[in-house]
Amino acid sequence: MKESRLESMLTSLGDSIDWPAASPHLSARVMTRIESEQPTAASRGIWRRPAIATVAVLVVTVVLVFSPSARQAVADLLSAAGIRIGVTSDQTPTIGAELDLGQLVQLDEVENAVEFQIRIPGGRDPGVPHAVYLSDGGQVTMVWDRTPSLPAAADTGIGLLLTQSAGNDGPEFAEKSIGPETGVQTLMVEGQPALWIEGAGHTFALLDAEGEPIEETTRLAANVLLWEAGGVNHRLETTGDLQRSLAVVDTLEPLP
Amino acid sequence: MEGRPLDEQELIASAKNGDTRAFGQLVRIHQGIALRVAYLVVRDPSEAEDVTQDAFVKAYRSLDRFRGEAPFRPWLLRIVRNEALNRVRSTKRRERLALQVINDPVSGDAVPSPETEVMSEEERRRLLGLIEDLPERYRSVLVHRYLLDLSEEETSEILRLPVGTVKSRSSRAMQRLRKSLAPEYRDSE
Repeated sequence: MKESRLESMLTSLGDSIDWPAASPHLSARVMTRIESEQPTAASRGIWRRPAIATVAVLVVTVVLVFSPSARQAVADLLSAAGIRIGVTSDQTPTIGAELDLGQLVQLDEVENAVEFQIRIPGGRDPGVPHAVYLSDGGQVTMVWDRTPSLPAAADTGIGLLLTQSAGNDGPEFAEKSIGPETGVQTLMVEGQPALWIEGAGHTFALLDAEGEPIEETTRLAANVLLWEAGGVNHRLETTGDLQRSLAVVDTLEPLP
Repeated sequence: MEGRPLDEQELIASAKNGDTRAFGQLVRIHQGIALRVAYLVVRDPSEAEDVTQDAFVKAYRSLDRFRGEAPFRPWLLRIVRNEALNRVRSTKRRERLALQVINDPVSGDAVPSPETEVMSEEERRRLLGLIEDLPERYRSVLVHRYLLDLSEEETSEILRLPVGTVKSRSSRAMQRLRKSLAPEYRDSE
């Protein structure tokens, strides 16, 4: 395809940017760091030696590969037995970390960070979110890798994702491009018009005041429920069906 | 160098098996573009270098999860961008463009295209200013797609947007730029 003049100008503009140059030490520093993490024969040998019986407190650092909630549960269990667990999160990225959802925060931190009332599903299913993110725009996203009734999606490893953001008069739901395998259903949720988007291969956008898309809902390529309630926009993405999603909605309650 | 140099797939396979020297080669291959991706977000050369370094270390730790048949560069650059975004968010800064044109585009390792010759420094500054004024959702697509010269597929992977969205945002961004540019730059398409 022939490149337009503006495209040529933009490409050439990239050539004339004053980009920073990598220092000659960058690769060496990376090498030093990753080599320092390599297990050595000597360090592995330590763990084969007999334990010293007089050690009063056993401190074990364990890298757990379970979900955050499982890690916490195991950590609680073992801490009761006098074993301290150091969880190195770098080894197993937090669920949703690659979705560009914002800054990873604690649930009790977000309440004061946004101006709307955050709600959270109650009950043991789905239970406490495995990760909570706060975006620069004040959007709060809770992520569960899986729940007792919702399996993890094959591609993202996420079973449930609930996003809440301050509703304004502007955004209206708008269908942008829906694949043939995707179904869209209008319904009422919490007394408000809602949309249920089901099936793979969909691109769905919220439009801003200018009618331009501000956000695409394609994270799970799964099923999405969109609704607004109490001045808050909600987006619930799950691997489950509509009934399961509505069951989650029914349990929503304000953060204690 | 003895024998045939390893290609990228072979370097990745070796790095996955713990060959840190192979990974070092991957670092050297991609460090330039990685640094630019980081710089676009953090806007500070020295911090961009720190981010790039951290991102490479994370990429090494995550190599087991990299699908060998997928392109390595966008996978790596997405890690770089995420690392940069996390750094910016932790310091409560907003992502903004902070690029400057250089007086002599021939210097450095960039190879100027013929268009560089016909665009004056003032014109380049003006175009950059117009890009900076774009909404972030358009600016980020345009900058990755054209200023970094990445493909639509790579831009899609790095920004986690569907390819169709990259196309539509790029198109809308171009429309906005054309409206603001002098008539002589609005080519007929």
